[in-house]
Amino acid sequence: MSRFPPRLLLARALLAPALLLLPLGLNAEDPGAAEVLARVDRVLFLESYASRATMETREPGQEPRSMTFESLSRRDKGSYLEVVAPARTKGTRFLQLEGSLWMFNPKSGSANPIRLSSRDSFQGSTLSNADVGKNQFSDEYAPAFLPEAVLEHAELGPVPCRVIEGKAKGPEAAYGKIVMWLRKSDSMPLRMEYYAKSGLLFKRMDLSAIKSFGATTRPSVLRMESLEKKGTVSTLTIESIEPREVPASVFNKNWLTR
Amino acid sequence: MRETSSGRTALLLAAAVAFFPGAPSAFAAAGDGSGPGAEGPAYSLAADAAAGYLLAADGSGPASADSAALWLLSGNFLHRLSAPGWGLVLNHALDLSGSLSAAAGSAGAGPAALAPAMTIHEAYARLDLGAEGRAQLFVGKRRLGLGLGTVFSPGDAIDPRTGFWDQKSGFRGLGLAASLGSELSLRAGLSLERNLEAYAAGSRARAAAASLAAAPSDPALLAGAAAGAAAYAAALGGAAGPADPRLLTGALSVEAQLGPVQLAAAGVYRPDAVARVSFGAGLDAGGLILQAEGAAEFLEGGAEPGSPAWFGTAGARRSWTGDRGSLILSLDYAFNGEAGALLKRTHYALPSILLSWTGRLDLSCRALVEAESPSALLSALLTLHPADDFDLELSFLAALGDAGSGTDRDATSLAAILPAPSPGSGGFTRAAGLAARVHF
Repeated sequence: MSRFPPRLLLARALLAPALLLLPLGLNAEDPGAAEVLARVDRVLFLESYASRATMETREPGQEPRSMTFESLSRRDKGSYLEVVAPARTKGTRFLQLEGSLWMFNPKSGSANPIRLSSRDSFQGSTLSNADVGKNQFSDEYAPAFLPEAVLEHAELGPVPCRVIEGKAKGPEAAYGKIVMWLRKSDSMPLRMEYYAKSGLLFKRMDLSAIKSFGATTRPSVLRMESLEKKGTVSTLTIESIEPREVPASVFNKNWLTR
Repeated sequence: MRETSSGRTALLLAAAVAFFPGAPSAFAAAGDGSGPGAEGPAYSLAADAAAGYLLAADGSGPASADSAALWLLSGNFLHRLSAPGWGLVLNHALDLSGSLSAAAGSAGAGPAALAPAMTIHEAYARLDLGAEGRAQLFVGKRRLGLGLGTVFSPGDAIDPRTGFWDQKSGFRGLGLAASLGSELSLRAGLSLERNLEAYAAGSRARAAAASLAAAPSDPALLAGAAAGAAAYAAALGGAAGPADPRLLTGALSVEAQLGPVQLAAAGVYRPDAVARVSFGAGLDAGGLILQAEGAAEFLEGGAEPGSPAWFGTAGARRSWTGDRGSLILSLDYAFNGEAGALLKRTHYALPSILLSWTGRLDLSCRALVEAESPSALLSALLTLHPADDFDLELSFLAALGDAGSGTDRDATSLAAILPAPSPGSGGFTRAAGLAARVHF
């Protein structure tokens, strides 16, 4: 029977900020804010990589829901993503390119991928599909240092942090600003605070369980909490991430239907 | 067992996938284990099984009212065996429904009739060609999916249309896909459907003739042989034999993705039968997805000899997604310039609503509205998700049209080719069902 899982978009929206934080492993330096953010970009968003992650969403009064994704990404192209669990949506594929988003469910009755809007808003219109394809902060956010502070981290305890504020350069940015808390000793991101364009702080991501994935060391658990809807939390657990030469042919509609 | 999609190629591929000892733990990336650099092969299965009950009625009027109560038991299976450089796919359905005619009219009450059916939607092998998998060769039964339309594709004259909203089945033959970066897609297909159908009809005709030779005075065998010969001649359609290239259908498609703009062109050709070209364009206009596609058929004939038949579609789609769910609205117009096997009128509207709420329910409402008769085909499906991988489905289908216009009513004829309900339900114009579905 024909099936169309638009709720995957919600899951994808929740996943998007987490994908922005995939591979990490920064050295302790004290360059200017722009250089720090550029270096964060270079390490956060590998040129080309494969990953697998599971996201669990908890809402008040609801049973937890989880999804497992596998993805291939390339900084200059976009992202290809396939749902591997739960069984209901297994096999659904997404292709995010600059300017377009496609979804294809091989179990559905449609012979063609369905085009979705890159500008569709998520999470109260502050997160869009285009976020998923964005592979760096520095092209959309202008960084500046804020005063250093001590972060009370749930796992690490009090951690001296360097704080960077990235303000949107233009209307295409999904957020008004992002405040990043980077561990002072190695610039490891430990917290991200997302502000709407109205200035409202409405989401907060805490990063923990720092572990090594081969050549890269990064947080493996990313907990996104909605500050607008108390009790709504999505936790992304990165199971694997590895640099991989992803050919350009992956980022073509033909790959969705192969 | 009925096999609704026969063919040696499909069956061989089906058997190959079904009996291949897969390696489920070999997942590496991109879901099916086919990610570049991934080690394989990796096997994956996405499947569901449903059991339910459906009430259907023809709705023609009290005098001729007929109805049926159908127990539904079916499953859908998508097998994938993927490895760097190659892959196998089998997408099939198994219908174990028994039909129990239960009520009024001429049908009366009857015994349960088990009519298991296997439908192979797709069964193909994929071989990657060229550097970095830029091209893939497909052998077997597969959808090509020409054009931009997701429901009405005016330029797609090579994929079979076995269902209106459900176009899972492909054609038997060869396919080729090539990618030039992310911006340009090339696809080609060569359908052997008519060759294989002619070959099968010829085999049946020869068997019937052999039977007649053994008992030349048997009138039943004589009639069977004559029917077999006629069916073979019809399958050939003037061709010299099953291998005649005039039975081949070829298609070529080019798509370009230029930021928010998508352009597509396609052509389908079968000697003396089909010569169709189509052009389409899509645009993401600030969140509103706009699509339009037009096609001209030069051989099937237009209103006047030598003039092409025109087809087209244009539509818009908008989606909204928030914390609690998502909503997608779409409206398409379809221009069916010449009556075809599927659509019999000229102007159609296709509205649809897809709602997902809190991950606990989905509602899908779709319609095909034909303004000239008028008639309409309405479909609604409410799916509840009370637990992981378990659904409860409430479905409703109605074909509305002028009473008394018989089987020519477009909506009625379309209702008859919808995939469900299955056994013995052809011709019913109203149906409501309840089913439980398990995904695994």
